[in-house]
Amino acid sequence: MKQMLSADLKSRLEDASDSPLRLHDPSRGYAGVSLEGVAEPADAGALSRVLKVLDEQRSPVAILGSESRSWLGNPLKPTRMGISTARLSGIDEFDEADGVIRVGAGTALDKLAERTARSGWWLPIDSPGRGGTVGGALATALCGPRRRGFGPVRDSVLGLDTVLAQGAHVRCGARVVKNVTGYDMAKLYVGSLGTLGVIERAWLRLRAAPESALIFQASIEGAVHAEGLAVARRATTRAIAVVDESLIPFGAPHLGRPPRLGKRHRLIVEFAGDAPAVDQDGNWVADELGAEPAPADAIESLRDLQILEFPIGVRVRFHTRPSQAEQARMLLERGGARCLICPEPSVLTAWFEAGLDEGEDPWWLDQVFAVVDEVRAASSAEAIIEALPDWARGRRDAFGGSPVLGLMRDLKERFDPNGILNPGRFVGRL
Amino acid sequence: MVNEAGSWISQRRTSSRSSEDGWIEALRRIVGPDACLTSKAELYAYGCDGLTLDPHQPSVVVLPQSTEEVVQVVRACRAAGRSFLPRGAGTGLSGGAHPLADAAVISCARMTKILNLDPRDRLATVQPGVVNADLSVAARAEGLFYAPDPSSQQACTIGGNVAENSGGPHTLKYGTTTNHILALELVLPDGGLVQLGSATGGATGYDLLGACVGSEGTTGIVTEITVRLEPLPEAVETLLVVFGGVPDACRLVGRIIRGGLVPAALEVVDRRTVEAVEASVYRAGLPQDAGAVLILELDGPACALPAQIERIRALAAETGASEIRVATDEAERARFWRARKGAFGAMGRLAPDLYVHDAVVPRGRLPEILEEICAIGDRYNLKLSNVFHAGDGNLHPNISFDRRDPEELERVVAAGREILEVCVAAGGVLTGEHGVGTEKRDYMGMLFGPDDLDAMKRLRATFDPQGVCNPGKIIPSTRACIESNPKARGYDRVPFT
Repeated sequence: MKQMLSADLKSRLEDASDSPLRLHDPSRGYAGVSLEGVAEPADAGALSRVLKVLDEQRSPVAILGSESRSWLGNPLKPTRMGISTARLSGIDEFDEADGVIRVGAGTALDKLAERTARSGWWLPIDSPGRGGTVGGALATALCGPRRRGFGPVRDSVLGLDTVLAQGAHVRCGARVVKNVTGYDMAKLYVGSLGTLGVIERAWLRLRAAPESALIFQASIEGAVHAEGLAVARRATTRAIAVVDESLIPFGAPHLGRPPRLGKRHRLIVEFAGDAPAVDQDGNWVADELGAEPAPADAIESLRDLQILEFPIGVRVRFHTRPSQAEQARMLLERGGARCLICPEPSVLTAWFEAGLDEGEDPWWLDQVFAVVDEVRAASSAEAIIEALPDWARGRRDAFGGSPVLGLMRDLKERFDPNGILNPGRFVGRL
Repeated sequence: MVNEAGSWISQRRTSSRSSEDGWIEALRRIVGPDACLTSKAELYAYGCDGLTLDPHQPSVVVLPQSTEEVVQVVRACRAAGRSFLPRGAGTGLSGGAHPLADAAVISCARMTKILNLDPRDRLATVQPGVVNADLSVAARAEGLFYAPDPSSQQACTIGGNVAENSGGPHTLKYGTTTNHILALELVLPDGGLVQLGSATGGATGYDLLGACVGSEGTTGIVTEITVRLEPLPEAVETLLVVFGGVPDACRLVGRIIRGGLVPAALEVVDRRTVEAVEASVYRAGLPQDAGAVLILELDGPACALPAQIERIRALAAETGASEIRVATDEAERARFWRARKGAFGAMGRLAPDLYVHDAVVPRGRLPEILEEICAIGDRYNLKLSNVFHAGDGNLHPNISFDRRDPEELERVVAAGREILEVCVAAGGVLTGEHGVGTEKRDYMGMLFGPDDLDAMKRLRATFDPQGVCNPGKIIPSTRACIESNPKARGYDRVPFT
């Protein structure tokens, strides 16, 4: 432990968590800071005690899952301590008849998905990239290509146990699949990047595994969003993406060669459901677009692609209406970006890559931001900056602000009055 | 953190007659004299919602037509130190629209415009007074529909649905209101105007939209709602499965869920309800000796439904079904649904009053919990019947009674509480779609501890730090124990006319 964390605080935190603080890998950093110690509470009581100590000391703290999605959000304000959910893991209860499960926040997503699949249930959480924990997936609320079939992350959350900044252990929701008892507090915590409270456990709703699932790919060009939207609106579409062909060798090489050469975009679609309906949609996409079967791991490859980072580049996610997505894509491509498009709900992820001579040139970055702002204005889109060169991080609110930032600031102050939870990372640097 | 209902009001309110008149006059200038109701006769209808026990007369009812008028009305209320609450069609069943603390009612009954219906983006923007069913009728021409379909959908409004996060028979497949709301325009309790959410579905920051849906009108007055529309399914099949008793029907529901089938609706009607329906104008041609019927609806691609029906036939045979009917045309389908949707009306044959209870339990525990609920009804010597959304585990034990009998009323309230205790002990919750309102406010402690409720207060205070918007709802007061007494809540002074 370095000398900056006082021996007294270290001792109190270790007492509170009933375990020694873990050293954080100094070579990795975390959201722009170097953490000096990480507490690993094993239950809600220990988590509550650790947070109380930190809150009394006004000591900011980073909330850590597997650190696989630390690229999301603004850099942390100066923070020396972390809390890991690693020991808050495991399945507490799995009602296989009802398709609901209660798990700890530190539970690994891939292992959980394997376990539920063995019982005929899909875990409907489809975060970009690989790895990750339940708590991280809920706190970031990021969606992958299966958003079309699974819906947003929040729809899979039935109940949460959360520990607030001052140590209160609060519960919301329950294990049942329908519930309007009181305010829907879970909505607040999901997607809040751990800035309102630390998610400790969750009741999740699972999806029945489909009778049949088939994945296809096709080379397309022209009005590619419109083509993608027509496919997205088939009855059994579960996953869909339209990808700039030039991104695939970097981010999703497992997808292999394009079905047809010379076309700029590739469409990948997964149909899932009753076998006759899946076959019907498969035949339709083959006839209409000349689609061919795609590799079995195509959806995982798309998730890998979603988090592709170029050595010097910018990645921005846009949310638009379907009717405005084509315009957004054209503006982005004209501005030098390459896109991955999920047609419905319409989400465009755009990559801008700096040329060799542009290096660390702020002018290049300003040009990129000008394109981002043009798309936002022309398409009424929300834009979230997901990746920036190290030298540019923090220059701009990654979330682009919010028209109701005043309400959000007030909410944050009521839940975390001393501002210790992941300070600075969220919208408006809350 | 939030003041108890009306405390800020009582500090601020001026008691002089002239100031009272001045406030009403200000409201009249905003909405026009015809849209500002003050006479006792006019106010009478606004004293309660579908929970007709325990009405409270509002101080005034205003019927604005636009967002700007709502903003002005709220500001006028604040200037006069008065509390206020929104009201849709008044079909709620938990007292969410009861005007406590002498509040002013802001009725959305004149805000009935569908402002935009966009088939390309599959969304619509509506004023809060648009009737739920009217939106689906308007969308049908574009091959779309609005999925949440509460039983009162012919009367209830989208604004009211947002306040209560309403469900309905098709929640099982399509979700509740919160799953279909993209954005809200909200007049805050201080008169400010904000947009929550986004038509893109990707608004950044805390999900204040999600937190406002189901907040029972305590976070402000919703003046515009952008909803997601769904494509009409290619095919629909409606089945009616007859059983000797409710437990067998629930077992089939469990087998269907476990088997990976996702019907659009799974509704159970028990024997007592079948008898009432068959003796009423809602007669559906059900077997008179049926112990329970399950109404099951499948929708989706036409090519997929025949195999689903065959799977259900097999599962039904395994669980003891005595008969399965598949509707052969729209008329027969409507007749099957009459057994469900006409149930509450048919109950009027059993007694003058009907208490429609609402609770949720894990689906796997439905058979045993229903047996316990029936035992509670028997123990209290009450006419208790069950019509419920079995696919969601959402129970509606219905108690038929006569409010003129105070002793029976006491038994109704006591049985209602016991039913909730049984459901909560089984891992369930107090309400699946009716909301907390005043009806269950003082039972919140069954499910939530002080810290849980304090977190809810923090959320509410973010929108309404002084507790002036629909005061007295959801969060139990410190006087909860006293108020949970039915006499203290005013049940015994309800006129029966």
